[in-house]
Amino acid sequence: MPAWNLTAILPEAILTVVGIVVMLLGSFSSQNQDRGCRTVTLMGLAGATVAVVAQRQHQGAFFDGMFLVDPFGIFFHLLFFLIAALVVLSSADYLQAEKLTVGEFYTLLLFGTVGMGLMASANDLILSFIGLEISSLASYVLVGFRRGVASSSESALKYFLLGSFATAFFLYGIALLFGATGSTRLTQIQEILRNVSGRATAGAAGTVLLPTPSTLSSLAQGPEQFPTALLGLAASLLFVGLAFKVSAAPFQVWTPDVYQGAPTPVTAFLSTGPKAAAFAVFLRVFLVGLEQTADQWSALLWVSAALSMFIGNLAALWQSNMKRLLAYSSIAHAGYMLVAFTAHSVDGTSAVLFYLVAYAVMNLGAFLVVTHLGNRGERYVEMDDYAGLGYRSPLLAACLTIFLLSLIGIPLTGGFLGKFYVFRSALQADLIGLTILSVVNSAIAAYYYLRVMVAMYMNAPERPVPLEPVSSSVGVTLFICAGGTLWLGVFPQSILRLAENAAQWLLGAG
Amino acid sequence: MVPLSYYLILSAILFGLGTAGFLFKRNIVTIFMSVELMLNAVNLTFVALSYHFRQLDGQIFVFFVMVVAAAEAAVGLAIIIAVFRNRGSLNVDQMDLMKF
Amino acid sequence: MPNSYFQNYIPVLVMLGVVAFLAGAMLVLSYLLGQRRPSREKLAPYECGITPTGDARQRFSVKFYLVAMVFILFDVEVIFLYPWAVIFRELKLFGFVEMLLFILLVAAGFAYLWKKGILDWTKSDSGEFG
Repeated sequence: MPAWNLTAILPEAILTVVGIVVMLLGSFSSQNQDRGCRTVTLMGLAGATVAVVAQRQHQGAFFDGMFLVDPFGIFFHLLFFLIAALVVLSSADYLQAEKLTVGEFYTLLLFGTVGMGLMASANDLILSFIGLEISSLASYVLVGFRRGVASSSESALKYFLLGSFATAFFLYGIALLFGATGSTRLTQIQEILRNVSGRATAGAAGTVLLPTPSTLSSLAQGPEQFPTALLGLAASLLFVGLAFKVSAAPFQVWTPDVYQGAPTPVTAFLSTGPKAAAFAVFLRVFLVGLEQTADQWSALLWVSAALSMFIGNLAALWQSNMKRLLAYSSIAHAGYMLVAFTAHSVDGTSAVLFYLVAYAVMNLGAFLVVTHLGNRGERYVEMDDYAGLGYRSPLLAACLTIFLLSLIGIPLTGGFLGKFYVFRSALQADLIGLTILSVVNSAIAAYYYLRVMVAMYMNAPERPVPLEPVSSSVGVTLFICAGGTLWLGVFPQSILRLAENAAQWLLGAG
Repeated sequence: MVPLSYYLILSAILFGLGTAGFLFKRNIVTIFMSVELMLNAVNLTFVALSYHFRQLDGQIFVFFVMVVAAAEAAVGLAIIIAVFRNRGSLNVDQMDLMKF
Repeated sequence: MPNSYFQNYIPVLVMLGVVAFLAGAMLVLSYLLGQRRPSREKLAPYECGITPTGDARQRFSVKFYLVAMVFILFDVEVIFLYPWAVIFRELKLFGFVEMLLFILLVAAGFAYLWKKGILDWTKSDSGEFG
């Protein structure tokens, strides 16, 4: 029975082993092994994907219920592997131009992906915490990967300090939840809380006291019984930690600085991968574990969603640096996803999942163009450098246009359908105020995305910006991202069905 | 027999001290130590609760938290060294390369 | 309950009082009764009897940090061996293999460090890491 459990973490195991192999390959081989490292990494990701697909036949709870193989986890695993593969594919040129060590970069990416995978499948808060830390530690190092560049190490420092601060809150939340319920298994917590609230409504009114769980019956007579206040505190601490990771307001201050200072491929990875993983934990913790206290935390989410959208979009209006602009837009997009999350329904959850996929392809694509145009040393990342791009490189400009239109939410793109599902689920949940706010925000957001497009097609370049030819790996990745964005906008059914399946499983499982 | 609430209050105080240190100290290494203090406060909570519930789970969590804290310390020190090399300072107020 | 709990600490409190009194008395008595003939040698900071050289506040080489970092990591990994060591007889072969895998993963990290030259104490200061 214990050995059988290992099949549940087969994808993670594959990635860990491949990560270590790449790490050793990069340091032990005397000659240049960049291509070899990349091939091994991609093969590892492919192997892990195959393992995940094979796991669909063997769903269930493993490791004593700590680790779940379910449609929700599988959905996220596939998304993470796609993101990691696209980043690996597209970052080769960048790494070469910046003279960065390839082996370590890919190793850290793989380890980060392992952590994200654990987060998505964890049914135990401690496993979520470990996954969160694995992915965070990898990203801290990745952000500071351009060691000699002051802005890179500075943003790594900011990310590290604020990240570990938020992690401490998350951990304290886990500890208090453990104290309130006597368990860290999300499904167990769900049951315990259900029993409590069932008894509370049946019994007399008054403050709801959480009894110690039945397994701890010896304590039932003890003087310590935890009021719901403790549960609320635990929920808000967990919220602080997770909101930080998805860069939702009011815990978004780190985002612009970190996204600007990090190497651009890493920014692309951070804004899609770890963000999606944090959403996976977010959804699992709040929709499964803390399901019974929904009326308390949904107010919290409401405020955070509204704040994220406004702060992200309004601040983005003033940005001239493309990476900073996309960072603020990333905060705003986290806000849209929180809107759907607030709906607390199957539709809302599947809207979040669909949005995450759409956001991943369009944002990776946009950052890829920024990476390519940035050239050596990331010198050309100001909006003025994009002037006249439509004439100098029509294809690149067309790709960026697709991504930006999708980020605005123009029909026929993935971003439009993502927003459409979000708004629909919010309306169905009677969140009319929040829906109006998000529509207003979409309109505000259109302004700064359009500014980039105006610069590309209508302005003449002010200073000469060198333009390298697009290499085949970058071209392929761009094509996948652009194609994916349009495909999601025209034929969303297949992904949407997966998302709905995952959402139904998550909400109906308990 | 020490009541559970004593431990919980102590760890809450430690956590609060860590938070205060994080917010008000200016030296990066001190800030980093504040975070470690917060993590250890949580460890205390875990151990106390684990003892209270008469189960070992909480103590196992502490192992993992300690290992994670050590890994974080290693990464943190590395980042701090990198920052010091680039900037020659460890004051957070001078970390202002990126502002708009 | 708190009362009886604090009662346990009364002996400690008594001992603290005795210690404080004794130490204070010795200091005060030697101050009052002892003769003082200070000289330059006597006023110098005491450092194992050897004449002190240089200022104590100098910058350490970054190598020390590296070694400290690496030490923390490998030191703390050992934590997992403790619970395993308690029950490894019950775990039988499975536990052994699991721990072997864990040690292998740690060893891979060690090999990486070694290859990167972090353990090489004499390497020049301007190297990639040192």
